[in-house]
Amino acid sequence: MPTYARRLFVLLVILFAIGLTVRTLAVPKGFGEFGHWRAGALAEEAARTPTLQGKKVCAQCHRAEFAAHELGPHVTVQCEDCHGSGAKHVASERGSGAKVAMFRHLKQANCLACHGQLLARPKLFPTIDVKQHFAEVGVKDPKTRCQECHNPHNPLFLDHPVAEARKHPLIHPCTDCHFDKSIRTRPMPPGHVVTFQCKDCHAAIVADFAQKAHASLDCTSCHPFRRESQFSGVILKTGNPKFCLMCHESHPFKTDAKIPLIVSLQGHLNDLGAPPEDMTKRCVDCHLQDAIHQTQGLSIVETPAEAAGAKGGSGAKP
Amino acid sequence: MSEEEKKGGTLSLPEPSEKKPGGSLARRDLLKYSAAGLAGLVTLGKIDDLLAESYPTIGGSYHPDEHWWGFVVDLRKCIGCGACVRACKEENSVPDGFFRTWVERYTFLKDGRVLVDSPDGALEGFEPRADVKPEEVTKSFFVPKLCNHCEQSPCVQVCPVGASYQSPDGLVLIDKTHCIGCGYCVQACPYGCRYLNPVTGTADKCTMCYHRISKGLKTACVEACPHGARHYGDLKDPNSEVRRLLNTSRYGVLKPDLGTHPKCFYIGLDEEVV
Amino acid sequence: MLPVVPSVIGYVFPNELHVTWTVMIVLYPYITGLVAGAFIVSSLYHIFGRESLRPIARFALVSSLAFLLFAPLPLLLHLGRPERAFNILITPSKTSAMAGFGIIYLTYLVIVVIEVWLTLREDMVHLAESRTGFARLFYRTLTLFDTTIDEKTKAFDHKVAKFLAALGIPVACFLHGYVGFLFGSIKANPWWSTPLMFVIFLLSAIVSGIAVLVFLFYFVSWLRKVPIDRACVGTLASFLWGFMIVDVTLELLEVLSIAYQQTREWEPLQFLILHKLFFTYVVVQLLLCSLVPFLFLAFNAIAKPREKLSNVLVFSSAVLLLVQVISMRWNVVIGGQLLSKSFRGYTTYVPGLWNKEGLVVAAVVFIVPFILLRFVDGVISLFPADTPLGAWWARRAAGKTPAVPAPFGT
Repeated sequence: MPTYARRLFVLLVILFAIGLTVRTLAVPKGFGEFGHWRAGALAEEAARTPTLQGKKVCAQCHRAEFAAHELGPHVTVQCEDCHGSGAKHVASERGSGAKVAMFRHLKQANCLACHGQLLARPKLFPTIDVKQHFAEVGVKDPKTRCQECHNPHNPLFLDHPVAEARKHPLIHPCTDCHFDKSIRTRPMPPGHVVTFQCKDCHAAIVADFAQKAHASLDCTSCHPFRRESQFSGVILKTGNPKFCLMCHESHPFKTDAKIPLIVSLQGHLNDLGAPPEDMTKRCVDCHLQDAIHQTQGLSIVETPAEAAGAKGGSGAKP
Repeated sequence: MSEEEKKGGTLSLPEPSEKKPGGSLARRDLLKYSAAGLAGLVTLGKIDDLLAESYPTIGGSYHPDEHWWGFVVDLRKCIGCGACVRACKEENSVPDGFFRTWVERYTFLKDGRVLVDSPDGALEGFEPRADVKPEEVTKSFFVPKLCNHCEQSPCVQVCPVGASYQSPDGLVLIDKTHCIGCGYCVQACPYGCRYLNPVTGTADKCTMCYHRISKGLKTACVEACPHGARHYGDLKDPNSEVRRLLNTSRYGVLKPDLGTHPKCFYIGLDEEVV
Repeated sequence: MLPVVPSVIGYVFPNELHVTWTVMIVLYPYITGLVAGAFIVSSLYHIFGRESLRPIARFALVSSLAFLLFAPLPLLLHLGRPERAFNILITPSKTSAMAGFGIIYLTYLVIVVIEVWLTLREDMVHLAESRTGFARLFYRTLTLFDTTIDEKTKAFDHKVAKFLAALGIPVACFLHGYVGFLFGSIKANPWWSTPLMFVIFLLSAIVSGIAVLVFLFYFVSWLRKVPIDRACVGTLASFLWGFMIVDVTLELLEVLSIAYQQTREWEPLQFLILHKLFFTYVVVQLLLCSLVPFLFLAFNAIAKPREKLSNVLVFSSAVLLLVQVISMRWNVVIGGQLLSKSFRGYTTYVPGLWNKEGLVVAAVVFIVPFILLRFVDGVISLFPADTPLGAWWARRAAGKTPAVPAPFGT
């Protein structure tokens, strides 16, 4: 081999050796220990600090809001879904972080992100047509924010936590099976399963309700039913003044053409000359019998004969 | 050949076995034992150290080898609010215009067309489709998407430098200190779950909130979901929520024909969803 | 960073709105194609004994090296973390098609460098002995301070060069076919995923390599007012014709087989071809830059036109085929990313002008190897001394033609 070739060979070997050494030294520590990756990377990934904290952390300061929230149907909605990162909020309040907006939920659109009517939304999820709803309850201003009447933390002012609500057999509207409108107008074939409606068990109450001022409402307007499985759901309990005032409180954005409005509960009780100790009275204490429905037969301990008799005379809504 | 490879079915659910997937494991075990035997001959009493090939405990109590994470999306429950997308952005500082998770809306029309949209990844939820009359629609639903954490992930396969890897607990993760930002994994992912992060210059993707689940917290998207559509859990644990859901419902995975063996399962999946 | 909202048809996964692989990744396989193609041309002379290619064999080899040196540049410009580029050599993954890049590239680089060195060694020795001062030291360094030339060294150089050329062919094929495999192995992308991709990339590489040499040969001869070597150009033209036929046939075969099989991928691919890529694929790649040069080269080979017309036909065919190959790279790299992996929509890619991965930088990256060639030409003759172009270089070196200054002077 000529000299130049030997020199070239040596040069290449030296370069190769240098390259190999540098390469070996440059392999990150722990690489290849558990596969073709740097073992430390996993622990580093795990070490990142979480930003979202969950509602229990928020509850440490915001006790009242948390208590209301735990009661209502929004119990499955995290504080941070509406308010944004808790960690960033704390940092901002302590002055160690940038100011953050906590109230992205103040717009109607933010409520409608969940409750707007979309074809893709599951049928059982409560959605609302704002226009129709406003017409029903007499809201004049179409831009009225939802929380003027509904407290976002407990939008239906329930009397007890949703988790403790009473189990109730499934209420089957015809539409559960007959999604198509056309079939509902045909007469029911003989032998067809009788759908399970409120009047089937609570015949006397439904019959009475149909005669009273609230007859245009569904039973579920005041007794919200939440379907939980194929066979059962829960009936939520309401009836406190705040619940009734969602419809009956007077607001500048409302018209009283359809629904009798009162300016405030306090004023109403004062007008009636109610003694101070009655300030905690529930609306139903006075108005149940005259405006809503009778109290007899609240539980379903009825004889079949009674039920059959009541069924005949009722034109009640399901 | 390991157990996982032998099954070979496209929709097979990973069994909660002690073995990790991958063909080289049996060989690695063999090497381990022979190495241990050899070392045992030389230095008696050191065998235990050599056999301990499990990943060290993280944060004092989390053992990666004891878990095998999976994800279940219940498509019947998703209301398309976008809370998961916002929570993910917040939790993981995902840059604008990129997504670790997003929500799609499928709209089936009477004329046979299937329309899909995901305005800004559903970061602000959905509006009713302006181009479709409600009476033309036969059915419609939402589909949340995220990294499938495939068992045979094409993105890990193609990473030229070993920056993408599958962790001992079954997650596909990225070593951001080692990634060169070539984008080959972005091309290889059949689900569009990866992106090049313009801030870090490296590939980026869903980590199934490893920093949260390893601390016992829920992932940001599962925590944020108000209607119970998202579930994550340990497939190794027979009593976990994901196991219960998979044992009691019919599910599917995305693009099963590609042989990626996703670990993100969809309950109520429609054939049109890809 | 990405202010342009691309126009989207149908549904595209939100992360796919931004096209990840830009014009730099179009350029990279183009440049490596030129590397492989130019090397094959030099091998046609060195190994397969095409004597008519002798005037261009050495130039082809050095061109190959010049392109090779700059092939990684578009990749570096594309990487999100270019400073970590060496990770591909430090921890290459066995399972990654891309990880082979470092190893194949370095192997090929070593082969080409040694072969170029051996080919130019005699000239370097002569130059080292005829110069003084710094130039002498420079050339002596290039010879590794051994200036012996005798029959033994000549025989040795010839033998080793031939061996390296023979070794270089499979490595060159591998270097480029492997780039095709990078795309062909992506099962997520129906526009890429085909075993034919390997072969198509290889053949288009050879076409582009021959075409760039034809172009440069004409260009240099014209610049130096030297008569065209008709025998050399004729051989190149027939090889160009042959390889382009096979290349275009395979390119069509790939699309035709998907079209004929009518798989579920065909519907979106058809839209891709007929709408998103209509201009760059159907008009430019197939009609203008494949059909036209095919007819030109066929006419040139069969009808044996007059010298002047023949030169026009061959030169314009070379230019058109250069465009054909880069449009093919564009249609593969960019086209494949325009179709969403949801198979339900298409995005749009508009390259930037001045940014890191923009058109201006791409143009500069493409031109740099040619500037390097010009620079090397100032140091050493890229054409054999007994050819017209080599004689021109010798005259200039001797100071008789002062037109082009040499960087290391007299």
